[in-house]
Amino acid sequence: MLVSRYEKRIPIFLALIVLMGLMGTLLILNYRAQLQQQKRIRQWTQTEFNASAERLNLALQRFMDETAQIANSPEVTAFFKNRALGMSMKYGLSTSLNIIRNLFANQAGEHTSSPQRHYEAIFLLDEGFQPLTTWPEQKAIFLPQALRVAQTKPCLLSYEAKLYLLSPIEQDESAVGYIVTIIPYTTLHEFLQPRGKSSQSPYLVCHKNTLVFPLLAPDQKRILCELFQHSTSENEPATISHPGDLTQALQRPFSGNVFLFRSSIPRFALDLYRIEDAASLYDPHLPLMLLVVMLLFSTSLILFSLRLVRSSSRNQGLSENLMELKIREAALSDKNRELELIISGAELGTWLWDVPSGAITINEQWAHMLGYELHEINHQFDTWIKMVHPQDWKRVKSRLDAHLAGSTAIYSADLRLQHKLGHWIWVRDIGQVFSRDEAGHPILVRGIHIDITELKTALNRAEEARREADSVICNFLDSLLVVDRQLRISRVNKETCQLLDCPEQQLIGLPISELFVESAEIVNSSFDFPSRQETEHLEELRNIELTFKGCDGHSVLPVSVNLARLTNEQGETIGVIAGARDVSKLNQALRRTEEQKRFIENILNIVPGGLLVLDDTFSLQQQNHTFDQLLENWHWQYGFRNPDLRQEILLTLARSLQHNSIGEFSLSGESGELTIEYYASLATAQDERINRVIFLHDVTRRRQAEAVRKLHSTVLKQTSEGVLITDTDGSILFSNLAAQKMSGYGSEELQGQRTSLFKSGVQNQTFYNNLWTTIQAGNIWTGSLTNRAKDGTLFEVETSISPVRDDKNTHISHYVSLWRDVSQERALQQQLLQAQKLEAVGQLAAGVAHEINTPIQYIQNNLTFLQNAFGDMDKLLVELQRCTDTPEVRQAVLSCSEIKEMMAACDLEFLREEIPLGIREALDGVDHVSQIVGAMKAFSHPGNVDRVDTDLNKLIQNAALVTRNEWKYNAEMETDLDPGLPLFSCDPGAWSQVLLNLIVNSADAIKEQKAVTLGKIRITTRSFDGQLELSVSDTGGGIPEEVRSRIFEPFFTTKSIGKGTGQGLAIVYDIVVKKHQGTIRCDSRVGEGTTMILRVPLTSLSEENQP
Amino acid sequence: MKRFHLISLACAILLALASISSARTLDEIRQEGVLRHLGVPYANFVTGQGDGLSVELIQRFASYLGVRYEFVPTSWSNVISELTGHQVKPDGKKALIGAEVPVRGDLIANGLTILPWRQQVLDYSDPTFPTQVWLIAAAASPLKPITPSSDQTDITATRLLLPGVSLMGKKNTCLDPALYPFASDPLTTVYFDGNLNDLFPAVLAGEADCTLLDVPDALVAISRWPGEVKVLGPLSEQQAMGVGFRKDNPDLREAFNLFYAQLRLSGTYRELVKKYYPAVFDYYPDFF
Repeated sequence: MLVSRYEKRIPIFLALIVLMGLMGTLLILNYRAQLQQQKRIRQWTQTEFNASAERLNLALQRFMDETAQIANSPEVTAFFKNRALGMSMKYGLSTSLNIIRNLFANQAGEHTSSPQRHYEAIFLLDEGFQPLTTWPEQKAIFLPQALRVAQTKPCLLSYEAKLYLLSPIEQDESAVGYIVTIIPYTTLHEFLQPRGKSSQSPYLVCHKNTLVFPLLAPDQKRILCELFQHSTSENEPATISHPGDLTQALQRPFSGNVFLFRSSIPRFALDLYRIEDAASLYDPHLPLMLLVVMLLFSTSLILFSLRLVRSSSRNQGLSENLMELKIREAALSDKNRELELIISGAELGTWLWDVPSGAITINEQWAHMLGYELHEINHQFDTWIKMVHPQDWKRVKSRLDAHLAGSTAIYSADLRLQHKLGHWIWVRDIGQVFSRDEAGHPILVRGIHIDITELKTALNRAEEARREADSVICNFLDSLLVVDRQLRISRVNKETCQLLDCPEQQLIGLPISELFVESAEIVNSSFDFPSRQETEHLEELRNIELTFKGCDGHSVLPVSVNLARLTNEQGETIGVIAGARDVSKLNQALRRTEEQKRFIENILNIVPGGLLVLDDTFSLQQQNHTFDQLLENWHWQYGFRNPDLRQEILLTLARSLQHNSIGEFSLSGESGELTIEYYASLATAQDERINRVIFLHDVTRRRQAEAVRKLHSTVLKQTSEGVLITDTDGSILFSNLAAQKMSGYGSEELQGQRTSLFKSGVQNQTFYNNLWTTIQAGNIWTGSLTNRAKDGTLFEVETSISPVRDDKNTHISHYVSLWRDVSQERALQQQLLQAQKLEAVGQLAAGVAHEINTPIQYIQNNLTFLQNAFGDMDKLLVELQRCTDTPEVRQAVLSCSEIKEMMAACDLEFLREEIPLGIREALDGVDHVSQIVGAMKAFSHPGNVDRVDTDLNKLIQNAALVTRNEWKYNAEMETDLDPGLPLFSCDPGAWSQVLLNLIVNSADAIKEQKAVTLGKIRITTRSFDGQLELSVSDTGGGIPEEVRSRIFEPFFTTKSIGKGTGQGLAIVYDIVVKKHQGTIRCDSRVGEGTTMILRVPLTSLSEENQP
Repeated sequence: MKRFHLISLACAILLALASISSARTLDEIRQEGVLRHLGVPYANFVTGQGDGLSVELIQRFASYLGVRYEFVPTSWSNVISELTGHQVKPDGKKALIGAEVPVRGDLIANGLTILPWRQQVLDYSDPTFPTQVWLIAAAASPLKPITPSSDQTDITATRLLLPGVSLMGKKNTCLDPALYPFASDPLTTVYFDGNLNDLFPAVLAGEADCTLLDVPDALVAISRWPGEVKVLGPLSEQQAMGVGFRKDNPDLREAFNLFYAQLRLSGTYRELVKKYYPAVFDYYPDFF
């Protein structure tokens, strides 16, 4: 046993030794690593310092470059250029300085969100080092004397812990000014800080071997310079073991060793020093302390582990045994508690009978069951025998003996024992022999008593109830049947036998379906309702209409059957009990009543309105189906929000009935107002449930129609437009006030008159025939009519005549004529048209004059030629005339040879050829001028109200001629005129205006394009389907979509200032559409051009004048 | 003939009053939720890049009214017509009103100088910017800048430079020589068809000896063409610019004046001016 314990511990010892060795090795390695780490920190700090120095080097270079860039910037050089141009500060030059100031501010980072600003100040100096502008503004300027010497290249200077950078501004190879930037060393100090963190270590800067930062007293500077001599390497810091001098120089305490790091920037002659307390880099004693602490910790950890292993192995065995014992005890205890619970819960009396001695042992419950206390019982078997009811003893004894003899496994008997109070209680006695002697005689018998008195009482009562039920069934006056689960008859009463005329024996056992006329399926489904899934939850089924079939097979009897579930004591269904009643007479009465009711309801429901029956408290007792439908319709039709519209109607009705038994009332819904008319009977007291009968119906539409009719009538009478209603023969049936006012006739005067009363003679018969043809065909006629008033004056009305059809929409019954008086409007338009036309003539005058000027020129040239030619010929003619005079005169005549010479001199042949040509050219010119003058005359002629047959092509040629000067410089005109174009009836002056406006618009549109090449205006005419079409298109800029709908509005224009008055297209619209019943279509694409297409009905004057 | 011209013009003016239906009042602007700013790209008032002193000013005004801002670009020849709804052109110190045109905006703000003929058809806000017309030449020009003295003396001295030179101006703007007394001097006027911002480049290109620029535009030109702009001297008294409103819309003008006064009081307007015209404070230190 001992050997085994040692063997068990050997692996533990080995593990401990290995652990100790491992921990020792790790401790040594850790110590060496700490020392290496300290060396790396020093090297890393030196590297970081070198990097800082390089950052400073780059920053200084950047500042030098920026200063030079400012000096060479266009803004700075522009100032000196502007000054050289003679510009003054008052007029322009201060702007240049402001620009430079902004440049300084931008360079200094004033306009950026960056918190880093390097420059303390930036100066612009003139050539005499006088300041011109500074940043920041109002900055006092101080320049070290060393800088105030002319410089030709950038330089830098350290002074009072600031760095001054200077860059000259050169113009024409001489310095005209300087840019000076100032950067404090405190700013440069930031570049020496390790990237991403701030160091508290002091940095020192020497410029050209002079300590320039920080600012120190001369003694302090001397001490530091001596210390700097120790530091010669830029790779490894110098170590100062006694930093007393350093503390004195920098006024700062140092503890223990101090490291002096050095780096330099040779380009700017800068030496940089960083002084670092060794304690700030690392703790020199840390490796040794760490080693000791870790050693102690490792040792204590090993000892603790060892103790823990030993104690845990000893406790393990003990705890296992203890656990098993506890489990067994717990199980036993559970069993005992369970048994006690059973005995006390079931109120069992227990007994133990020692057969040889006759002694019995009983519990308290045994005694209490019989009303005794335990001590009042004599614990002998004979005592028990005396308590047993004499009637039961024999049966009990035989069973007990049989068990004692070993014939039965268990003894059990129900017996009565006498209670202490004298009455009997029922007990179920159960027992068993527990031990026998060697001869098989019982020694110990153990058993229990159960009080079953209540059970026995209940059984007796149930038996009595069953007998009573049997009596009720047999003697019940209605038919009763009991059916078992197999749906066979198990019991019937006397009434059933009488109804079916069958003896009971014949009915018992018969399937229930055979008692009824209905099919077995119907009957079984009713009687089997406790088994069917849909009715299994029901306890009864009532009023099942079935028909008994007599046993003779012929007689039938309608019965109403009620079924009830039959259950046993356990609640299980054992069958169905059915009660049947003869209902043949009742059915006949019900059928008659139902038929009468349906008849009355049908009558009420077809009444065309709601019918209500109210009692004397105005509560609704009855209403017909129509009323319900009306309520539903009213809800959605009028949008009533009140869900109980019925109640709202009844309340309103009650209020209305207080005044009148016939009347109407209105209710407002969200979608409209409902008007209900009601007729109520007089109140009657014969039946309290029928006080009044009320008939309701919806008259909303009728009332609305009446209101609309009234409104129409008022509008017709009072509208500002004249209204005439005639029959189909033109007899006036109605005229409103406006029509009476326009015509001067009164209402009675117009009534019955024909519309020909207004004939003025301005329109011919053809016009009226067309009008009548249009309206008799069922179409609306619109147009302008000049009528004659009662006083003989003419008035012009825009008229619209509409046919009115009869109710069946088959025949025209009336005509309605609407008049709008446009007499004044026409007069104004005529004036405006003439004004615009003359204005256009005025605008064209210069161009026309130019057009006339050209033919006049060559007429003049030809006439001059004819004048000269006639001079020559006149001399010759004089000589020839002399030849025919008196001899005296003839003597003075030249000889023939001289006349020949004269003829040759005036080149008679040439004159004979050229004079006719000259005359023809002059006449052509005169013709041309005559055409232009004629066109102008035709164009400027005042508008003629009467229409004449007109050649549109001729009008186009005239318009092209007079407007030639408007378009010939920007566009070429192309005409495509239909040679077969028929004459059409129009006002030629007005149409000349139309053409002029369209051509000038096209020319203006092309002109505004400012195109290099000529645009094109194209005019075409053609006729088709009784219409004449004129199209004018251009290649101008087009009309924007947003203003296209407004181009025909008066005074609206898209032309630039001075170009248009906004009346041109408005006049075109008036002439073409209103006066000539034509149409205008405008097709326009922005950037491509516009086409105006005009169409008018093609009617000639000759056609109009036909009888 | 002249009678008919007068009738046409009279009809146009009469209809003008009835045709302003498309013009919107302050209440209608608030209801429709948008303020339409008519502007011509000019100097640093409307840069054409979506910003500018006038653009930021009116954007703030729209925000003050609680409506959306909408910029409506236009030209100098149409800007007043598209506010008033009628063709308008100057005739000396008078304005001629012509035919009806569509209204496209609610106010004009682009460095609009307050001129007598414009005041006949527009209502101006309180002055928003000082200005003066300067005579400008290219750096290479032989013309020499004047030596500054008193304002009136400077104008007289500058006018002495004009005889014999070609002077470029622009119609319908404050840079139209016809608006000023020196128009009668013996000089050649050249009218420029292009954008106002291109006046000085045209002079650089040799299209005229010199041009007129108002102070804001001159400041921009000096910044944009450093060393190439020569300011010769002033040709007008000090003027002012303002925001233009329709005469039938006094509520909008009052609302703007109230807003503008608050903006000046808060110092925001000075910051805006500093952003776009930092040099103007050197010339008019008291205006802002």
